[in-house]
Amino acid sequence: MAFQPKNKIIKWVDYRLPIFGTLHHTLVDFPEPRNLNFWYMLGSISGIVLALQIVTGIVLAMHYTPHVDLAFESVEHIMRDVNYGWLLRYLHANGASMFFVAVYIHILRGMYYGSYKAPRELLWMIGVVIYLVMMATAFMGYVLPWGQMSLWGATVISNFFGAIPFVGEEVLMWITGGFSVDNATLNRFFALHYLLPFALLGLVILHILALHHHGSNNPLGIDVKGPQDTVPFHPYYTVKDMTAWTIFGLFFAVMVFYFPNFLGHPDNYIPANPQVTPPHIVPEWYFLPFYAILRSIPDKLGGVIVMFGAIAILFILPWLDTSRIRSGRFRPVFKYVFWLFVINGLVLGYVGSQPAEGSMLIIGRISTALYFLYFIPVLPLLGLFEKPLPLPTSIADHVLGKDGAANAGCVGGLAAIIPVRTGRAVPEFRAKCRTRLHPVGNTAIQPDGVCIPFHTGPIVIGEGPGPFQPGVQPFIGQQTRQCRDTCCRSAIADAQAGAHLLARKLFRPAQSIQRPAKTQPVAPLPLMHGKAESARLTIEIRNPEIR
Amino acid sequence: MSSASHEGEDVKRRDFLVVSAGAFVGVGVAGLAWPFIDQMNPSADVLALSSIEVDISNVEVGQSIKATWRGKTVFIRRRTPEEIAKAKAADTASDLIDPQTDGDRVQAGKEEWLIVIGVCTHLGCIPVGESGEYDGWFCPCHGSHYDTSGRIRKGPAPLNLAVPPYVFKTDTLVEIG
Repeated sequence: MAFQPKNKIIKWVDYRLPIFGTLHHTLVDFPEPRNLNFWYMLGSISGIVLALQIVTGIVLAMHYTPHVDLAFESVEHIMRDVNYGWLLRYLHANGASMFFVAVYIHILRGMYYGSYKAPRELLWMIGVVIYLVMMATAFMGYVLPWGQMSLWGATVISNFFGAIPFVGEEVLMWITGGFSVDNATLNRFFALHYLLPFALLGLVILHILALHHHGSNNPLGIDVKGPQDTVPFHPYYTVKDMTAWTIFGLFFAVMVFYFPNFLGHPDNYIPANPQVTPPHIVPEWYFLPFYAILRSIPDKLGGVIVMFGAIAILFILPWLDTSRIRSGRFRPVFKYVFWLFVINGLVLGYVGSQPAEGSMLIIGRISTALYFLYFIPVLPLLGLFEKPLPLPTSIADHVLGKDGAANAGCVGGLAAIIPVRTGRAVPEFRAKCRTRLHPVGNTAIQPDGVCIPFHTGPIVIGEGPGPFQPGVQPFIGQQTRQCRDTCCRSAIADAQAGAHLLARKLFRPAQSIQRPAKTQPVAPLPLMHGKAESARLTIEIRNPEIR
Repeated sequence: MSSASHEGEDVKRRDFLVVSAGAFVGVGVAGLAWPFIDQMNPSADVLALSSIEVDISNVEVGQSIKATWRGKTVFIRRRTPEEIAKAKAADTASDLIDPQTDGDRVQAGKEEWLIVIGVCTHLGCIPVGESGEYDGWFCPCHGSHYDTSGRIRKGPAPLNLAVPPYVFKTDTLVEIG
């Protein structure tokens, strides 16, 4: 829909400079896939946090003095004397952490749903540049209070460049502007810390430009096929984004007002002393995994190369992942590999926070190896050997439940059999059963969503033309979860077995369906309609608690 | 202008103009860029801090003091006879990462004075004295162990603690730098 303003001034301006039209297209009628979940809200959260960082940073700069003799005191002056200085500084300091929280989730979301794959490789690469610039900015910002961690963190990190062969010493002196990290370093870090966020802003605009060229990826990882697959950005995602901001904002506020120094380090409240290194130097939490990688290599140059390599490898990720399926939902092996990667990242982070000795050194080395193994060779090989699950036909069909499994949720025995009716999507349904918990009364319960209550013996359903038989009751109240679990498990096992048999007969080669589960004392599946109506299904509920 | 030979000449002349103009612009940009790059190198006043004098008359055997030279910490340690013996004994040890004899690291006749730059050669932390597996220095940042001669024996650091240029002006006054 074209932008047609009613206001004459806006019309006049937009005719000469299409700023309002561009904004309208970007924020109002931009078509987004209709199935974006909350993981997709972290991008806009990151943008909001960047804006907050710029605003708080500018006002903090009005009170800060970038000089080795005055910096520490000027920060304390902000904390104690400047009106609301404590709030502004805590917002800024915790804002950096929140920025990384949001961006890390944003990056992992992109990795899980394959958002880096064609045609979004450049979008991803710009994102990696943003991440690098963020790290540089955050590092320089942490130096500014000129506490012990500031000085020694700056010393250690700038010494990375001293590892460059032949010219390392010269490069190091050029970066620090002296023989050690000193006033010259502090001054230039302040100047760059003020500059880089605006570079970030420019990169973010490029990022959004690239994003809007092909539109957002979505949790199904399939392309938008037409208007039926999308909804306009406003009001659907403006509201969803704002909901996410509110939740994130609560978390942010709790950190700022109740745990403002939780993510910092007490040593940074000791003024910098060039003659004493604190006994245990740790970088800010968001650098810890990379710090662990650095320390796991027992060689100066090697450690620095491997650490930078850990970030550089993200640039070629789109070409390392050979699978043509984007979303991890339809990649049965990748799914687990991905979560192992996430857990491994957390382990690296923990190792990075501990002194580098004993078992920590060994765990760090193993984790470092695992980190790189994810990119080479696991991802390239996985794409070649993994057998993906069948993809939904389209976003709209999936969302509206037309292709079977969607929306069935994990609510009841008969609902579980729905996919079997069309003979597809059983494995996907099974995955859903594990992960999604629908509260009672949720619309996800099908009109015929019922739960098979707790029986001790085999029950028979689906005999004859009627939809439900004795022994099948709507579920209620507290029984929900237990009921759901029981129903799900047994019904799926049977649905699979049924689908297996049925599929061989009617729909598709059996290979695309999981093999029958072991619990099946199953006859061919009863259908609620059509030819096979007379078939019988026996479901045996095997839950020891119930017996 | 219409003949082929003229056109050929024009192309040559134009190529020359393009290349030479490009070269001049390139040199000009590089020349203009240099001040912007070089301003980040250490300034004259930083470089001027080239030498310091340290009074070592109060340092007893087994004690060490720290001085600051060019913004870096310098360890001045008056070693015990055991430490010297240990350092000499390790001259041929197989675990020296950056092999050097103890004699090369102190001045002849002044073996008890070990003067080294107290900056870990790994990533620049200040090592802790009289600790580590070799009773020399231990860097808490990334676990480098130095011996009683300041030589790296174990850990990620690639080089021994550097020995700055120094002279003993008198028995109790040392000039570093």
